[in-house]
Amino acid sequence: MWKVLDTLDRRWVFLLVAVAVVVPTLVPFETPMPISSATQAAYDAVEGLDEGDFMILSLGYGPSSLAELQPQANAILRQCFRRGVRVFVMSLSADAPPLGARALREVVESDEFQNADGSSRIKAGVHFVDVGYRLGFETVVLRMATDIPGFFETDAQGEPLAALPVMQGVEGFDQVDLVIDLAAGDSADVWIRYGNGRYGVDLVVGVTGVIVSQMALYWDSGQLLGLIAGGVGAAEYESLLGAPGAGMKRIGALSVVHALVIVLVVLGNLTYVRGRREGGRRT
Amino acid sequence: MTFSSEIGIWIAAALTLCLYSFLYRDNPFYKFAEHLFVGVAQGYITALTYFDAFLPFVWRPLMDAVGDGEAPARPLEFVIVVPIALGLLFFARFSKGHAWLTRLPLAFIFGTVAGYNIPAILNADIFKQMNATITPFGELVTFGVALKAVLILIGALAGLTYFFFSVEHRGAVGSVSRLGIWFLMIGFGSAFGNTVMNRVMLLIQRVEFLMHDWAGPLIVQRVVGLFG
Repeated sequence: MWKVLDTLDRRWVFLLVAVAVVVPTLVPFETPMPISSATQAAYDAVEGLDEGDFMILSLGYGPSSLAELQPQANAILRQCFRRGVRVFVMSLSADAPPLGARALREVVESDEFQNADGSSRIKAGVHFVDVGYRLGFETVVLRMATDIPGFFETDAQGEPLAALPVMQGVEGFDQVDLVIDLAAGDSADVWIRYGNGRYGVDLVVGVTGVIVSQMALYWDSGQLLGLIAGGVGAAEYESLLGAPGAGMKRIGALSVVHALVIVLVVLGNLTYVRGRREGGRRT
Repeated sequence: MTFSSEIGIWIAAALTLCLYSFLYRDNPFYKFAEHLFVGVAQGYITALTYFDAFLPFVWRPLMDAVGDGEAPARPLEFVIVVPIALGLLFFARFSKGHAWLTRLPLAFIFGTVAGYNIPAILNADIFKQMNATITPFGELVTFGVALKAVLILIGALAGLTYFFFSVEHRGAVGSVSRLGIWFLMIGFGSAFGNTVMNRVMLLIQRVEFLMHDWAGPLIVQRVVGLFG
């Protein structure tokens, strides 16, 4: 067996992973969903907002991180609209605006917010505003601090921000009750250093798995009110919200592949150690 | 489903399969998809830079300064010429004799970024982190929290020792440094596990797309309809 493992073509591993994804996707199954304290804290931070409070949802990701962060965006928007929280959607990543617009459309047009005549109770300009993308990470956050409507001027459709009901009474960070940044890269750092560090805004971040370890220390130190960690965090958030979505649907396949990866890592290491003991040359 | 969205799904599915074909071996289909992606991304960024950077930060301020037919000229707005000139200096790179001029905008950028980044990073990444590492020792905490605080402190000190190269890593320093490696490895292991989650979620999302958006409605249902 060891010889087979030692010379195994890596394409068999790819095939195994493909099977481990395809089968649970075709035949979904439920897995236990323990909620991490970081996700619970993020959820509680939004639950702690009152009707009419103002929240910024900052999007710092693109299509390559859609699988993990789009379910987070949908769940957060749903929770905000349930609670009557005003949402200001902005993009710090150039390819985020279509994803923000898609998340808004999916949630606003969902059955939960439909009137009897088929229209949505959630209105653009009243309950939320999407301002799209603005160039410059740090400069955007720094300039927002004192004059949000003055900096953005218009929403993504060209409507003057100052005239929108959703922006009533909002000037700078003093009127912002919570910021949630969904990040695949540096946008979370910018919000931590400037939004929270310099201006003291309450901050929650939702991140891809790749940068969870980087962000965990800010959650541990209390600089973040909550941390939603990748696809698992999205599934936990949906579970807390009682609104199963793409996040929860993917957890079964994710668990199977993770188990497979663990087995493969163990087998790979055993093969390596065994080969070294036998005096074989390994690279 | 509209015809245009169906076309979009077919193209997306074909490109997805082209990219995954690399797992078997490098091939022209993969190369085609790869080059197409790079080209589309570059085109997108170019258009975005024009609309989101050039127009609002260069063209419109210049037009405001000159004044159009209705609005009067605002000469003070001509100050925009200074950053524009600094930006244009980057093109001096193309001339061997004038390449040194690119140092001017670079110096300005480095100075500005360092100016607003250094205090912010010191505050968020050094002072607050040090504070959070030490604070639990001054509070009445449970055994679990105390244990965690001790582990974090030991890990932080051992990790820092590993990267402290002014002293030879022998004896006590060597032992602490080796302990630091263990903490670092645990950290890398955690990062690896989370990265696997990220990559697998990408794969799951693509497989969902192929099965639920493409193969399901556009192939299987039609074949069933054909014979049913």
